[in-house]
This record gives sequence, C-alpha cells and structure tokens, in this order.
Amino acid sequence: MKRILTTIVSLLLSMALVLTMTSCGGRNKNQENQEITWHMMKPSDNLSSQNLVEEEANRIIQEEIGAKLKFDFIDAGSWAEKMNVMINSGEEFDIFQTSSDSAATSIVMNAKKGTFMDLTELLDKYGQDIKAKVDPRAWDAVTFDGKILAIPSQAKWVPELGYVFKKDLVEKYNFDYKSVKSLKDLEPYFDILLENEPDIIPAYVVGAGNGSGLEESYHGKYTPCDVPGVLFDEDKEEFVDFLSAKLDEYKLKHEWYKKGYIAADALSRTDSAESKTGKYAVLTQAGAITLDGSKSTAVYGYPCVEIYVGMDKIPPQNIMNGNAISATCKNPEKAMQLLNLIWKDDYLINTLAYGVEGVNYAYESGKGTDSPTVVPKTGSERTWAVWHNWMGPLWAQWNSSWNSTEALQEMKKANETAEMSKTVGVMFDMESILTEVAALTGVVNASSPVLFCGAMDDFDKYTAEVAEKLKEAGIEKVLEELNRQYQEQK
Amino acid sequence: MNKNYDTTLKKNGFFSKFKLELKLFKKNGQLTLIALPAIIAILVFNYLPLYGLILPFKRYYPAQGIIGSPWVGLKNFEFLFKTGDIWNALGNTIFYNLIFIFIGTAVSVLIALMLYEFKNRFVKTYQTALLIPYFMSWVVVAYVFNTLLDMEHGLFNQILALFGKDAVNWYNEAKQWPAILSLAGIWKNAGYNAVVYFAALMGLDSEYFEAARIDGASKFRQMWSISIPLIRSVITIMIILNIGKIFYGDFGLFYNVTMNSPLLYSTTDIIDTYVYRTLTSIGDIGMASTTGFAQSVCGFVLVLLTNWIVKKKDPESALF
Repeated sequence: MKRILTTIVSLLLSMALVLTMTSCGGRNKNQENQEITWHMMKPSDNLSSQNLVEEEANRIIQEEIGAKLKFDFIDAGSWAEKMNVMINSGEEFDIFQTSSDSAATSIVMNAKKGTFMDLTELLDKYGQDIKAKVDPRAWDAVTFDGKILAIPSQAKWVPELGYVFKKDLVEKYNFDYKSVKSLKDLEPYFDILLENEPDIIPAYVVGAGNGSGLEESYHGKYTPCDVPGVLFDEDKEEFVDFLSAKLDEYKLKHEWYKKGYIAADALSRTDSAESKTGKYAVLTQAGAITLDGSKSTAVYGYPCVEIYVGMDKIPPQNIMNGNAISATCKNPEKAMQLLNLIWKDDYLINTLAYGVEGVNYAYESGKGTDSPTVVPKTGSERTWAVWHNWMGPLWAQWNSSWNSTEALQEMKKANETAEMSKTVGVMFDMESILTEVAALTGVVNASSPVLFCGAMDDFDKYTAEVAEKLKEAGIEKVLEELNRQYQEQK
Repeated sequence: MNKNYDTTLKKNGFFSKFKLELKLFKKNGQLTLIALPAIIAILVFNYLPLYGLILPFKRYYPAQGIIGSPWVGLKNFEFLFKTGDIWNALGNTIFYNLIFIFIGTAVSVLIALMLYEFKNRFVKTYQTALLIPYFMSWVVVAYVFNTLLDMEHGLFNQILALFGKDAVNWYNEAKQWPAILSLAGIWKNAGYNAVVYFAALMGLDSEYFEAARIDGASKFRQMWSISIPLIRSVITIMIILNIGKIFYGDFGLFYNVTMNSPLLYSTTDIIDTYVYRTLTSIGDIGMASTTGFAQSVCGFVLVLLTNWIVKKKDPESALF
C-alpha cells in the first residue's frame, strides 16, 4: 500500500516538474524569437501550404525584425463568435483583421470597449512605410477620439453594383442587356424566360445572409455605422430607416415573387454555392465588375456577361476593412514592425498573397524583377489562399490571372477620384443606444431576408408589422441619436 | 437515523447540531474522502463560476474585467422586452417543452416497456437502433429532414405530386411546424430516455410478475398494474428535472431543422434562437448573460415548486 502511494506521489511530482519545465521553456523561447499571431477569416478550406508559406515569410521577417509570423485562420461562419469570446475573455492576441461585415471586430462597436490598441504613436515610430502608402484621406475613418485604431487596407472602396447575365440565354433571346439601368428593365426579359425556359429561374434572389442577389442601385443611401436597420441619406444628410428607404424595391421584389421571377423557396436557398448551379438567368457581380464577364465566368463557372449599374461615394466602413492590434498584445512594437515590413517589402506581401514559388505559383515572366507575372495554382492544386486585399498593400501585388496589375491600377484610380461620404470621419458612439441596437438587430435579422426575397403572403400587412416592430425596438431614438452625433461632428 | 437526528436537533440547540454533524462526518469520513474528487469538481465547475451571476447587471468592458466593469442595474434586461417577440418565443419554448415532457416521456416509457417485454436476443439491436438518432448532430438531422421537406426534391412533395396535389413550401408555412418539430425532438431523444426507464425496469423483482402470471394477469395488465407503478418514482424525478429546464430550448433543433427560416418564427422561435439572432453580432456579454440568468432563476423556482407539490402528494417520489 505504502509503495503504491509513494509511486503515485512521485509520479505526480515528476509530472508537475515536466509541466513547469515545458512552460518555462516556452517563455524563454518567446523572448528570443517572438511569435506574432494574425487572426484572419479563412478564405478557403484547403490551406495545407500554410507552414511552407510561413516558413518562407519568416525567413525575411526574422532577419529584419527578429520575430515570427503565425496565421490563425477562423471560418467566416464562426468568426463573430470566436472573436467575441477572445475579446471578451481578454485573451492575448496580436494582429487581427477588422471587418465592418462583422460587428464583433468592427471599430465602431469596439472603440469604447477598449479592444483595439491605440496605434497613433506606434505608427509614428515604426510605421513610416505604412504612412507613405495609405491614402491620407483614409485615416479619418479609423480615428476615434483622436486615436488611430486600425490600418486601412488598399482595397476596392468605391461601392459598385453590376448585373451578371448568363451568356447563352441573352444570346438565344437576343436580349439587349446593355440597356438595363434598373431592376424594372429586366422584366420583359424575365417574361420571355418564364414562357420558354421552364428549368431556369429568372432572378437570382435568395435568403443567404440577410438576403443576397439582385438589388437596386444604391441611391446614395447606405449604412455608415454598424447599426442594422438604418441608412444614411447622402443628399439629405440624415439617417433614415431602411424599410421606408427601400420600400419600393421590396414591393417590386414581392411582385416578382408572386410572378415567379424569384424561386418560390428562395428564402431557404441559403447555400453560398447556389449562384454556381447555373439555374439562374440574371445575377449580381461576383466581387469585382469586369465588363468582358471574365470575373463572373471564373467565379460562377459558366459563360457570363456583365453590366455596370451604379457606383457611389465611398462609405466609411469600406475603408475600415483593415488590420488592428489587440489591446492585449504583449509586443505591440514587434507587431507594428511586422505590419510595416509587409507594406515595405514587396516580395514579402507577394509571398503572403501567392505562397511559395513552385508549390503555389509559377513565374510566367519577369522572374527576379520588381513586377513579374505569375500563374497561381488553381482548383484542387491550390493549397494556399489568403484575403490578400485585406492584408494591406494591394497595389504592390504581382500581376496574375486573378489580380491583374491593370485592374488594380484602375481600382486605385477609382478610389482616388471617387468622393468620400460625408460620414467619413464621423465616429458614432453606440453606448447610449445599445439596448435599441440589440432590439433592432433582432427585428432586422428576422425581416430583411423575407423583404429581400419578397416571400411574404401579404406585402402591406407584413411591412406594417415590421414598421411597428422597428418602432417598438426604438428606431426613432436611434435615428435621433445618430443624427445628433452626425450634426455635432460633421 | 434520520428521525434520531431530527429529534436530537429539536431538543438541543445549534451547538449540539454542530456536534452531531461532526460525529456523522467522522463516521462517514472514508466515504466522504472517496467522494472528494467529485465534490471538488462540482465546487470548481459549478459553484466557483457563480460569481459570474453579477454579469447581467454590468456593462462589461473586457479591459476592466468582470469585477471592475460598471454596474448598470436592470438596463441589460431591457432589450428582451423592447419588441413583443420575446413573448412569442417564451410561449413556444414552454409549449414545446410541455410536449417533450409529457408526450416524450410517454413514448419513452412505452419503448422501455416494449423492450422489457420482448426479452429476446434482438433487444440489443433494437436498443442500438433507437439510440442512434440521439448521437446524430442536429446539423445532420436538419438535412435528413430537408430531404423530406425540400420544395423541389423533397419526399413529401413528391408523394403529394403522386396524388395530384400542389407542392407545399414547407419552410415558408409556419402552421405545419409544431408537428414537425415535436416529431423531430421526440424521435431524437426517445431512445435515450427509454434506456433510463429500461434500466429501472430491469431492476424490478421478477417475483411480482411470476405471481401475476400465476394469477392469470395478461401482459397489458402486468404493464399497467406492476411495471408502471413500480417505476413511477423514476418517471416523476425525470419529469421534475425536465421542468427545471422548461425555459431552455434545444437550440440545435429549433435553429437547424427549421433552416432558420424567418417566416416560421411565429411557431418555431424559442428564447435561445431569439437571443442568438438579437445578440450574435453585437457580442455584449452583459446582455447575453441576462437570458441565461432569467432562465435558470425561473427554472430553479419551478423545480422547487414541482418538488413541493410532488412531496405533498407522494413523498416517496420527491427529488428532495
């Protein structure tokens, strides 16, 4: 008995010893070679080259700043949940992607919570290359109470809307798609399709997200802060509720739904691959708009043609997509040095974007020069992908089939010439209306897919109900508060 | 001994009560020692986190921690009652739970009785077949139901088409869903709950049944007059425990099987899905914890109440 006891005790002790030793080891190692984590949404399922890419990137990073980069990819679907838990539990992490798509990591929702580290001084000290390359107008959109909270990425800022047509159908019925200016113009084409193509659903309008697919051009109304259910009217310079602003579009959608332009079960078609089934005649742009249809053809997987329907002023949240450093980061200096290096070193950013030569891409021409052309591996051979337009310097990325220098230059020019929204530089404070924002989120999440697909039984009754719910949730107080804050800061 | 304890307690005051406790503790010291790991685990995992109960009354800032964040009174609860949706969700939650508690229990007991009566070599097979749904993820179950309910390719609509009827858009029609969800919930959990009752039945003394057989009682008579009365206390305890959870819904069932279709909310929205939809993007811990707080407080009161009623009627079956 005694022997057994001694054995157990010594076993436990040695286990404890091993545990303390390993944790000590970890700490020592960290001091010598700090690891900087970068949390990012996962762009693709197969990222088996991650270690190779990190190794190649760390060769440079280690030499330049004596640190190591480690990506932590999180599925887009669980991004909000996981980041919320990390932020709220005060976990230590370093760089993370801020995205206005997800309030969990948006600047507006987090500014007051103290989630983001103030980058103002760090940028002055270590971020000269960043400051040189970021559009100077963009800093306004990420500054809250005089503190810079994130680094805006070079990306497409100008909101654009395009319609995509399945090529074989427009050719078969000789439809003059180039004359389409708004949703209404599509109706004659839809009638022809309904009559002659029983297997085709005319309009791609589905319930995925909070409704995705065909919509009306922007009318200068969009949401500059992460409050659901409100839009900013650029002409009147005031906030309005989404329902009355978009009522005409929703009414048209409901008519379409009844006529059969939209699938009867559109609301439950929530699979993101739905647009690739080839069952729809008219869709919206797949990311960027390419007038020759190359982008949509590549993404949707069947021949397409595209038109350009509208563009608008740059809303602040398009600029807010970038990267921030967490307030819990233990090595903010290293993290900033790393970010600066990414903006400075073209080979590094291209390694992160394209991967490792031979494994993830091959040179087509110009190997060894500053601006080569590369051919990235595609399909099942693609083992590396990253949200390259959210990493920072996009204009420095090499020419390739999905990232042509020509298109990037056009994008850069569009950004520089487009006007900024009047709300850029206005930082909205949600503290006093959090309860209402929560209630509004519930109402909008429950109603917007239905409105978007037009899938209700009785349009007037349904919209009256939604309007009543918005009122109960406190939309008036929210509008009043946002308008007041806008007037104060503009 | 219990009686002895009570009378001693009445005779003497607090001090002797303490003395008695100490004596009992000494006597059962070894047993307590065996239970120690479990006691520590319960303390650490169930009691230590209880300080989190102050969260619903705070505006939580991660940088300031739970203790340091400012108090806000009942402000966090306000979002729940802003729109009338919570009452619909509350009604649905209780409705489905009552169905699961009463019909679900009846089905489970029935299955257990059948397993017990068909004492043959296939019992294991039946048991396994009944248990499989319990171990399936709701996400998988949702697609199983989708193959039945899909508008174009679903089995139900194809059967309807055979009879020349119009296709039903199942995911848009709220009125069908109480039946579908009840069925799904019972189908998934009945087998697992039946095992509990089956185990209780296995523990019964076979002499009762032998005596009944000699007296010429039929199988049904035996079930009704022997099996069910003898496992009554197990059934009651299971019901009391489930009543404590009456304000909680199975999120997986109501979110996945309905494909979160917003037109169904009038009959499928439960408290958990409502709160998820409302707070998922805001990520305010204070507001999110209010619901759990309210659910558990109400559940706790209900358990005490049910137990009190049961104790009045039938002290043997009461939980405590």
